[in-house]
Amino acid sequence: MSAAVLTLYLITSAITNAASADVVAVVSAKSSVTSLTAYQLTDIYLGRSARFPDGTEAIPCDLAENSPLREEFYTKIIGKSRAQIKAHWSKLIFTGRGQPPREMATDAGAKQLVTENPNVICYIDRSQVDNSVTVLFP
Amino acid sequence: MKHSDIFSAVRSAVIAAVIICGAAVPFANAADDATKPIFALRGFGTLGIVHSSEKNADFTSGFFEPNGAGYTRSWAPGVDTKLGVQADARFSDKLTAVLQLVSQHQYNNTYEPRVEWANLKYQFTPDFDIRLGRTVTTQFMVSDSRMVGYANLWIRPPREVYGLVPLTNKDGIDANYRFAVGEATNSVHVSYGVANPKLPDSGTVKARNYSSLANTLNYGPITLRASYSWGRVHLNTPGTDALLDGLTQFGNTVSAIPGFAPAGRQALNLANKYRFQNKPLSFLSFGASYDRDEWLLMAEWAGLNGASILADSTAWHATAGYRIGTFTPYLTVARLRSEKRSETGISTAALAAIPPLAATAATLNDGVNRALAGGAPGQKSLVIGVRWDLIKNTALKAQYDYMILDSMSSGRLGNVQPNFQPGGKVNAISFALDFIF
Repeated sequence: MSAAVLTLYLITSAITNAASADVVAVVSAKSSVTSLTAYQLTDIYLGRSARFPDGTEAIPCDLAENSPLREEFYTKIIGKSRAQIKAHWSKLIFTGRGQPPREMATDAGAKQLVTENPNVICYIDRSQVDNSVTVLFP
Repeated sequence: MKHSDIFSAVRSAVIAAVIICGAAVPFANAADDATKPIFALRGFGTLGIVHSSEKNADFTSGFFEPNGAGYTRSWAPGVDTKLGVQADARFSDKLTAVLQLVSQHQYNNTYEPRVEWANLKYQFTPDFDIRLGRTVTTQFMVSDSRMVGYANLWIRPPREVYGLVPLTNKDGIDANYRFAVGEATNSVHVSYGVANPKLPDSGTVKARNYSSLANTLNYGPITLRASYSWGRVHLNTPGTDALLDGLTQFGNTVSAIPGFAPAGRQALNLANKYRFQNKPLSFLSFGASYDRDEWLLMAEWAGLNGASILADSTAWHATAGYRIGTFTPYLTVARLRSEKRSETGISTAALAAIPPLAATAATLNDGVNRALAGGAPGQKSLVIGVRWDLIKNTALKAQYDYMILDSMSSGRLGNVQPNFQPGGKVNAISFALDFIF
């Protein structure tokens, strides 16, 4: 019985994964940065680093909290659930050590912010990638 | 109305106003425009309750809480309950200020809010800042969020380790510098200042030249941390002050009696040896954690170089949590050891010719050894709990603490009563609702 449930779960989650959006971290095509490792990306998104590897300032941006793309970005790439992210920022906020990334209401708004400011990094759906942005990860 | 009452009333009014404003002001950081917030109000809190099986001592939050669960109350809300409100102000891209008020059960048996942090920060570069004012002390892995229950897995950080340095803030200056090391980020933190919090029963602690150095390395999900602190400490509690005054008085009296000078000198020497004034204390700690996906693993080791009645102590804890959806069961094992010391004290044999003096000497000797035992706590704990992230910004926790006290020790228990039996085993159960807003 439990094996059947597990099999069902694995199949369902495989389908969900296949159907889910493909999230990528991007900067403006005008940025000098061309790639990031998962750890460098994590440091920028967790407020541990304010710079890209080449030393230029990095300003991360988030999508709205209920965005499925945001959920995927944090669980798959950063490795933290929504509650873990909340707990993480509560540590930094209550020491005056940092503020969470600014939230953009729409995916289009996030992409626009990226193209307008070469220091801004955000995550978008791979289908939205065009020659105005550079994919840094994966 | 005394000055202090007026002061506390004003502070209570301020905190109330801050809370009301905080409820009315929407989250500033959620703004979708390019302007950064110039003022933000946020808060954190815990509603907690603790029950302890030991009826002749109290399970408390630490040295600053006068009473807790066990002797004073069957179920004590004061151990973990707290409310913090923080105002962040941004004056420019570089200059910011933080004011944090915290209300929790404290030394004078009230919940009067106190200023936990109040500092100005100047951000020279994105990687280097200096803060002036009241800032956090940085001895431990979760020093920064020691009071923010929501930020932590446990209801409270392991008391074996975190009880070694109960000071949470200092007044002075600190600097923070971070730099990349390959794929890792390293932060160096230095601070210098003073601290003088109040203890129950009109006790005081004064730390001078209180300096700390901390280094934190983040490499993906891994964090490694080392810290070293030192300072000069004055500690006064009514119990030890009475004992030391008694020794001095006895020593002076007996020294004046012909033929009894050696016994008098023994008493005066004891008083000088244990007078807790301007004593050097130092503290070293190492920590490591792994936090990614389902697992949260953490371990810390700490050592305190004591002085006077405060023994040299070492402590460690190892914690593991495993996330299953919104539930995170966790387990901690912790150990606190202190160097056991005793004094033979004043020679009662030398005073045998005058029985009342011999009896007083015996009482004083007993007092010294009790103080030394009190300053050398030892215990081990097994802690099992679960955190449930039930709704946004809110976590509910249940925790069971099983403590084995070292023989001759009351461990981390406070408000110890005369018929308390040292050693033994203590069970405590706690519930807490942690929230941020």
